Parts: sequence; C-alpha cells; structure tokens
Amino acid sequence: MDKKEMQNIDKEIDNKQQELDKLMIQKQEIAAKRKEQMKEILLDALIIGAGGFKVRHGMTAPYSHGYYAQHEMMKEFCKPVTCDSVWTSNIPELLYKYLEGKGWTDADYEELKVKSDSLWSQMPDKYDATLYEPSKTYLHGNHVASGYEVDGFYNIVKGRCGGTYSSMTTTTQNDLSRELIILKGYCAEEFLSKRLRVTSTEDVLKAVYQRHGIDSDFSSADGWAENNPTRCMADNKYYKS
Amino acid sequence: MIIYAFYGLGKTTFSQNNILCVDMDAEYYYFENKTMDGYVDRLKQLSDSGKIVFTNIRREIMNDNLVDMSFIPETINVSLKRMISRGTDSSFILELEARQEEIMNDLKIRFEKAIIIKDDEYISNYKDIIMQKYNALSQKGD
Repeated sequence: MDKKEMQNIDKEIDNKQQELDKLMIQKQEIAAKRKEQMKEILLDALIIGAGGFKVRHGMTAPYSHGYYAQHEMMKEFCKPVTCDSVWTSNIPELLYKYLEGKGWTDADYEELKVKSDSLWSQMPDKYDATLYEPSKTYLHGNHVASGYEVDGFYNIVKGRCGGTYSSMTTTTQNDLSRELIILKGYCAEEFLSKRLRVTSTEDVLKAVYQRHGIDSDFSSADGWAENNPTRCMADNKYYKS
Repeated sequence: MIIYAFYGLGKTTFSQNNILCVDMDAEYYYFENKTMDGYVDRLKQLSDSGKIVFTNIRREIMNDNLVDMSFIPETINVSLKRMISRGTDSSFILELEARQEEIMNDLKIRFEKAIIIKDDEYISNYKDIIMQKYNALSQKGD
C-alpha cells in the first residue's frame, strides 16, 4: 500500500469518525428529547392523577400535613410539593430516575400517556355554576375549580370555585392540587391556609404574587394570565382562555 | 384495656408516668409503617397482654366496641391551645381548626359515653377511674 492509499484510508477513517461523532450527538439529542417527553408524561399524569400517580394531601410527618407527589403502589417514592415553583420540573426529573431504576420502558410511558389523555379528555371545558354548588354530602362541601376549564382561571381568581378544607385536600380528584399546579405551585400550602382565613381568593393570590415580585393586578384576570403565561401554564392544556 | 383519647389531652404524659400504659399514637404508627394495616391488631395484642393502651385511632379503621373508655375535649380549642403551645406543626392545627365542627360532631357520635376533658383538666385527673375500670376488666378476664 503506497502512501497515498494510506492517506486516503486515514481520511476515510476520519470521515467515518466524524459521522460517528455526529450520530452519537444525534443519539444524545434524541435521548434528551425523549427524556423530556417522558418527564412531560409524568407531570401530566401527576396533575390529572393517572396510572396511580397523584399529587396528594396528607401526612408528611407525624402531626404535619402537606402536599406530596406519590404513586399508589410505589409509596417509597414520595416527594413534597412545596412553596417552590420549580417542583414541576424537579419532581418529574426525580420520578424519571426512580422509574428508570424500576426498569420502565417506552411502552410503560406510552401506556401512561394513553391513560392521562383519556382522563384529560373527560374534563369539563367550561365553568359550570351547578357543578360548584355546595354539596349535600357531610364531608365534602364544594367542588373546587381546576382551571382546565376555558374560563377556569378567571373563576379561580374570583373565588367562585371554593371548597371546604376536606374537599380541597381529601377528595379523590383532589381538584385543588390541579388548581395549584395550574398556578405553578406558588406556595400551595400557604394558598390553602390563607384561603381558609381570608375570604377573597383574589386577595390571597395578590399577596402570594406580590411576595414573589410578580404582577398581582387582577383587575382583569384573563389579562393577567395573558401577561403572565409562565405563571399559569397558559401555553398548554393546563390553562385555556 | 384500650382507651381512646383525642389529641392534646395528656395521653403521652400519662403513659410515660404509668408502667402499665402504652401510647400507641396512630400518627407515628402510620408514618413509620406507611399503612395502618396491623394497627388494630397491635392494640388488641397489647391490651390482651395486660396493658392499658392509649390510642387516637381515626374513625376510618375503628371497629365497634374496640375501646373500653374514651376521652374527648369539651371543645376543639381545649386541644388546639395545648398543641399550639407545644409547637405542633401549623398544617395539623389548621386541619383541626378547619374541620372542628365535623370533628366534634364525629367524636360525640363515636364516643357517646366519653369523659369530657375541660380546659383545666388532663387525663391524669381521671387516674382513679381508669384504674378502677382496668381492675374491673382484669377481674372479668380472669
């Protein structure tokens, strides 16, 4: 083999190596994108309560109650949902790693997505006053708004979708969890405690957002939502207006 | 003998000062075991072994005729004041405050013959009555 042939082979090896590097980068990008999609599926499932995943309200320690994300069958995974707007990314990240350890496959995620989508499709898409009328049942006074309705955010702000402590914390659907998630989890437990003591939901939201240095002018609730898309997930299905 | 006592009435203090007593706090049991499964059996087991067992069992898992004696507060504030002063987490206080009417109605229905603890009283004020009942039950068991 002469020198030129050797050089050609080397060049070809370099080219192949570059192609391989590109493919590796593409593979990593695809894996990263896939991971983001999986995390989105998990967040979706937590919000809607699909496949056994749910944001629950209950005991976080003896004589302490709060919000936490958990799966009904995998109770060892239990992460608090607190006054932290980034939990919507942190908890899916931790959950993804946990499920990776459990051997979850693409098929498992696909199955979960189907369940979530099915539940989302059953959601009412408009505020219905009769739905939020006080219930006659002893334990759970009112339904609470979930914000997924077309005008849900407006009605949350106007306090038309209140509930009793029980309905806000312990109903199976746990609508309040979704409501708080829609509000990007800003001080979930504070929102709950203040709302019980202060009559106006609007005042509670103003106080919470003011503390976080966020526009708290609710003179136009839908206008506020438009101006603050990242505060109520206005870009996706969790908030529609 | 199994005794129901609502929060903040002095069951832990009473249990710590009486060798016959065991405080089976349901909050701690659930937190440690992640389930209430086995709780009622444990109460019975301890009771059968001659202990005076205190419980704050929730209604969801309570059987009829499980308890031999019960203590409830005159008003929810009797318990709340004591829990606040000993630094119980505000989330728990909040729940009791928010559900006070429901809780008190439930207690009165569940424990018709309960001893009512007033603001200045504790379970220890009723030590003689507890021991009389314990002795009576022990003799019956013999």
